[in-house]
Amino acid sequence: MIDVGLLLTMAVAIGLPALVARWWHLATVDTSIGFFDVAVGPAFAGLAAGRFVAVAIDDPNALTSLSDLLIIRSGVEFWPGVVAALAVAAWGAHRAGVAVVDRWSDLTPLALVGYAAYEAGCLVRDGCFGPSAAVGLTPSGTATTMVPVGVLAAAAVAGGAVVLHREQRRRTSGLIVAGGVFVVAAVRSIGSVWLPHVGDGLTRQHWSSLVVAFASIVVAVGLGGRAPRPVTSR
Amino acid sequence: MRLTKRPASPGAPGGDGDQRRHAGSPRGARVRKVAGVVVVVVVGAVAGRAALDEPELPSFVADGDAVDLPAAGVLPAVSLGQFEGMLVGLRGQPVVVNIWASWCAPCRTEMPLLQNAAETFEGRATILGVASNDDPQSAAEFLEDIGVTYPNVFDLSGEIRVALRLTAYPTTYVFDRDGSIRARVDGGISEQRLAGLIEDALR
Repeated sequence: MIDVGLLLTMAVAIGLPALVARWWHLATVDTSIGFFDVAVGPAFAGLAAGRFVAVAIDDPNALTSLSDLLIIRSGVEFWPGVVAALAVAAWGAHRAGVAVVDRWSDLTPLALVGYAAYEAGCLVRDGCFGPSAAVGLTPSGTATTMVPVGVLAAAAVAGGAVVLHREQRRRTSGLIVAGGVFVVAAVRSIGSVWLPHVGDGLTRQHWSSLVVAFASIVVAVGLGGRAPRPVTSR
Repeated sequence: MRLTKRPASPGAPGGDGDQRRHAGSPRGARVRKVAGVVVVVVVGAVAGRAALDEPELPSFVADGDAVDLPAAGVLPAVSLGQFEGMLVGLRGQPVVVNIWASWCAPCRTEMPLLQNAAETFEGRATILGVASNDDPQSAAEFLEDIGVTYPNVFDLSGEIRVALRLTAYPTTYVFDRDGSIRARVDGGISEQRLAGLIEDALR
């Protein structure tokens, strides 16, 4: 069965940053190549790695089944996916003779735009769940009006993307990357508090995002305050 | 026979010179851009409409005498009447009916989530699995492999999936306290959606 909502969300999550990239100049990407070429590889690598890890955790017996691995709707482990995407982006930067952290920094605000689009995709996917409230949305199959956590998360991440883009010229590349990771991890951590879940205790999404948010703060503090952007070409 | 392209004069319609003029002109670029935007908008609108279009819920309401649920680990073949009887016996609390098959990959993936939900909402809501369109032996082995403890039945005749107007595997139905269908999720169900639907039905 084709999940049209998920397909549409993924198309927007890749298409929207590609559109924004027309205005947000990418210092490490040759104009003849463009955002799409440097981002599609990491995006698909992230999706594949995230799915592989999700299957390895939830159903290791299915690791040998290609059809099981391809059903991304059944779950993608987010942070391992991010690590894989960063690794492939680093490989691309290395091949292009560009400093890895500068390429990551270049892509960070646009990656946040893509993630914001994905979160907002709850409108056409599962429905935007959250705590019940007088004002909000009523997801399909429910009779309760809920605060659409996905939409709020999308707004927060999009805001983070704009701030990081504006700060790109004034901060080090490492700080921009750490800032981007922190924004996403913080939004996922806070969002997890309000999203319905099965069972007691923190969900995997919640605790892994808390760990990453904390790690990104440590990295950001280590990298320190203002600094001019370093030369990108090696 | 070898087809050869006849060289066109630069000024002739359809010639290379003509193509170059159109491709390179600002008007040509503008037309391509507008056409691209129109295609994206139309495809997006169609896909969005399809994504938001909710399938109509079947008007299925269980009827008949109450029937006990099967014990954990067994997979009895049941008729539509017996299945309805189980739902009648569960009136007063929400019931999540998950239709699965051993050949269906997302069915296996979501079963640990359903097991977790069965334990979390025990006494307040019931999870009932229905194996359908499957070989009884394969389905029983599959259930043993997964190790779920919530009740499961086998839809031998296919009457249950027809009555519930099943279109995809897996499909999850949430029945209200009064036995009517409250929600239906075609394909794999996410944790937040499962929890959200059950919590909503419990309110």
